[in-house]
Amino acid sequence: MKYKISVILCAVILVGLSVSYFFSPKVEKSEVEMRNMATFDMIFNPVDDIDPNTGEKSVLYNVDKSIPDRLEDAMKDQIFIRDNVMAVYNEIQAKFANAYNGVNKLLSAPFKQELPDDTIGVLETDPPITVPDEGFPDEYYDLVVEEPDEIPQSALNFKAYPGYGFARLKAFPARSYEYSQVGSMVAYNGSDWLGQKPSKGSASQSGVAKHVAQYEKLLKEYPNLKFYSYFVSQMQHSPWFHDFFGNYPDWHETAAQFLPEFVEVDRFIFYDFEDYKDVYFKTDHHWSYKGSERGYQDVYNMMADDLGLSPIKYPIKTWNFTELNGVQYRGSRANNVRDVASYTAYDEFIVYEYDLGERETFIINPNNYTVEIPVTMSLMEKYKVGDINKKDKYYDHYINFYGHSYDATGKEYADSANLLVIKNKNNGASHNLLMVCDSTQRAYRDVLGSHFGTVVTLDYRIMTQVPIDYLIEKYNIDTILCGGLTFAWSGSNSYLFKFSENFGK
Amino acid sequence: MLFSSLNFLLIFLPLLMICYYAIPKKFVAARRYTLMLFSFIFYACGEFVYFFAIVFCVFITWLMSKGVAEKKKLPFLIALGVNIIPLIIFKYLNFIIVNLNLIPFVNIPAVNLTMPIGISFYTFQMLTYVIDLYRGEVARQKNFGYLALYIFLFPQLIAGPIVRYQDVEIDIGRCNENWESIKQGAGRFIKGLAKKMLIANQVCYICDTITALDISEISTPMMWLAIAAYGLQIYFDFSGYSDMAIGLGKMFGFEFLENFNLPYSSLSISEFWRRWHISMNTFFRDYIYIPLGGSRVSRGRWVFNTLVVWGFTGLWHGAAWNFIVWGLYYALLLMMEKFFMGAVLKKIPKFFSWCYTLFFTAIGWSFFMYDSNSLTEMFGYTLRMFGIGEVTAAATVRSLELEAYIPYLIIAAILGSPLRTLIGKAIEAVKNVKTKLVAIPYSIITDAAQVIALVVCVGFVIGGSYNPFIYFRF
Repeated sequence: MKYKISVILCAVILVGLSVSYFFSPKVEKSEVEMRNMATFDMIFNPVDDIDPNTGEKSVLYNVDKSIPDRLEDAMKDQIFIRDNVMAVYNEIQAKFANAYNGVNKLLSAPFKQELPDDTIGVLETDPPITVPDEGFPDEYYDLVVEEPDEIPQSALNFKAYPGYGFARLKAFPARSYEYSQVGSMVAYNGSDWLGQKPSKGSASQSGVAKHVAQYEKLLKEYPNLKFYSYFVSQMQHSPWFHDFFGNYPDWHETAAQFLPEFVEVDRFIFYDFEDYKDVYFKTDHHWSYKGSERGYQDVYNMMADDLGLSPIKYPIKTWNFTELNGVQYRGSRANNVRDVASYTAYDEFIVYEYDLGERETFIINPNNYTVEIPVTMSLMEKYKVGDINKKDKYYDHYINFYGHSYDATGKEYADSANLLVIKNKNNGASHNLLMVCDSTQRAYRDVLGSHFGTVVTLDYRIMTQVPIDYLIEKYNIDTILCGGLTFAWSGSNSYLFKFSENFGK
Repeated sequence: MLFSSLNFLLIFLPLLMICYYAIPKKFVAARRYTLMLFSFIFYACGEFVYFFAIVFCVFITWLMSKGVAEKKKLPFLIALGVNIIPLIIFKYLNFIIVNLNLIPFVNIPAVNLTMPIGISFYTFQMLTYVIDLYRGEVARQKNFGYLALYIFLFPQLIAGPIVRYQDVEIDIGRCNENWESIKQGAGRFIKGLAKKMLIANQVCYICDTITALDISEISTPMMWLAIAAYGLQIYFDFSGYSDMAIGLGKMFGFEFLENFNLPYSSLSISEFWRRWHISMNTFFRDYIYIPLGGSRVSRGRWVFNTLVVWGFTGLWHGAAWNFIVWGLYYALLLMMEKFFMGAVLKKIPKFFSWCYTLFFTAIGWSFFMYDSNSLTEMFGYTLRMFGIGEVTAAATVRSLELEAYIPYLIIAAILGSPLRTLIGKAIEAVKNVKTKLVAIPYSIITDAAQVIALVVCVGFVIGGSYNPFIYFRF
């Protein structure tokens, strides 16, 4: 008997977990990890979820050795104790990190005259480059190109320059800004501006090709579709901002060079740290009101001539919601350092108001995508009267303000989990827009959308739930804008469109 | 299929145990064939196509075995060839072609074949059977199923230890397992799983993160950190896998020999190699070194024998020059110890002998860890250990967010060091106290520890899919 108990206990645990996997309710999405979870369906029919174009290979795909891998993925994602496991694991990692930091601090105390070991690079104190509204000063332009056709698609630094035709922006001067670790973030330049650590990244050609194949598939069915892409560069994406990694092409550049000519490409660029401070929040990863205005103008300029859009709009009012009901704005990055007592910075939360004209707005639940629910988009009206949720002293206004809508009963809907539709009235627009986007795009969605007839917003996180062809046909879409972070359309197995079963038949 | 996967832990193993133990013990053949069938499934899950190729090799070996047992050369050569040729083709052909192409005017197209999992292990196992049979040291296995079971026996199939046929010859034909051996086996398996999941996989993160950087970003201290992490990771990973194999073997009535014996407590390189991957070393000793004459030869011949054996040892680990250099590096160290260093090590305090062994082992890992045919690249990392080479922007523990993993490294270092021997002795002393006052709590604590360790390990396996999008925030 003395040998049996532990053996039987171990066996019961393993068999119990195994049985629970098959009978416990399945989770389709993880909000924390921002991804679709692997499910049992994927084990034998993963192809539809991943790439409809490989349907004919599904038989082979299902008998190869990847089945055990897919079963393994599904079990890991679907086992009922998963959330508890993650919580415990993360707790252990946090404790270990604290223990290391505590010991490290003690050990390094005698050497505190030395540079701390987390200092990287040297701050170059060049005069800050000021960026006038009309563009860079002349000295930042280099090669004059007579024929626009010679400009490669990847040359995002080429731009129209009055009097010269096209000119290429000189390489940015290599810069390097000090940063120190603050919680899971870094603070720049001895300032209280939080960022994420720079990270090397480059898009794969095959990853982009999967997305392009979907664009081509759509073009074949809808030849009049126009595609636009707009990248939103942030600090950690900009190698020139971090000399640390030397000179290598960044994610956006490599991704863009794999895009076909029929996709118009532009990117949001900031020019140095001073400029960055103007266009981004210090405690959040989204644009400030100035950044979103610049983003809007960039995208508008990319599309305006081509589509014959109505004249550009300018803000009519500026609202400052920095402090409401005693709650001062701190963005998502600050939330990641909330336990670091030394970090106390707050942010300004200012928004522009535009004349959007007459319109109706709706949300659509992606699980039942035929029903439109009338809503008020953005919480502008609620903010004006200070009607905001006070549940968190670091309340993240950006996501709250731009990322929510509410219906007549006051019920709020998160943009990231729903489609949004704007139906403009009497603006004379002849084009309808589908914005495939992330949260960065929401700040200019309304004003950009006012130049179109109907605008549908499809968040990357729900794009596999609603057939793209359904949206195109129902809302007569002729323009698609993929905006935000490049990875969302260059990942090899992620953020791909869903197509109806009868598409192309 | 990995032992540290949910497929194995929650599906394969429970199913096998139910099917296997449901058969009464007296039906030996039924139990053994069940084990064979599950071993086939185990391998086919990872290598569906090559599975049939290995079955074919086993079948030819079985066909030839009568002639081999009668010491006929042709069947012996066929049996050797059918096992060695696939190893050469899959593992070494491309390496040979690449190096031949370095000769002017030679341009042979490269072949890119996927190597069957575990080929280095099962090939050697089959060789031990064929050679020992030819030597008359084992009896011919007439039952094809049992011979196939010996090769495909899932606990040791893909990562060893290299089990000789003579070591399991008797166990194959009987079912020796009982509750005690099952408990001991399960305990050993969980110990191995814990080594793999709780230590090796965590320490591995340190090494992987640092080595993913460009060499110009790795400072000397970070290089040593990476090497230390690598040395501990490979030890806990490999010895953990061996523990799991030995434990699973016990659960199904097989006694495999030990493969590791606290190698990082060695006081010389020669002792290190008596404690590290023992099954491989004894294979090379018995099937190459001794047939070449071993050490009872002239000094020159001994040097030759040593170089050959360690050249092969390096090559066995991988088809790349860094592995060959790594093997020859140890040959050089062993010669050094044989000729003069051995005597010095005996005279100096043990602590210095231990440091000497760790130091040279660490340098060895710097050759080993970069699977490379570029000697410049390989030595670049070794030189960086001594501060040679330009560092343009040094990454740090903090900048790479490795803080949370350093405690795992410290735990690994303690458990991998001679301190582990002291801990082991203390546990053994408690275990040997026969009074009920100690024995009962000891038994309860060890049993509970095993169960908890299993749950924690399963938790860590599940945690492998956790993928927070920290960097790519929307």
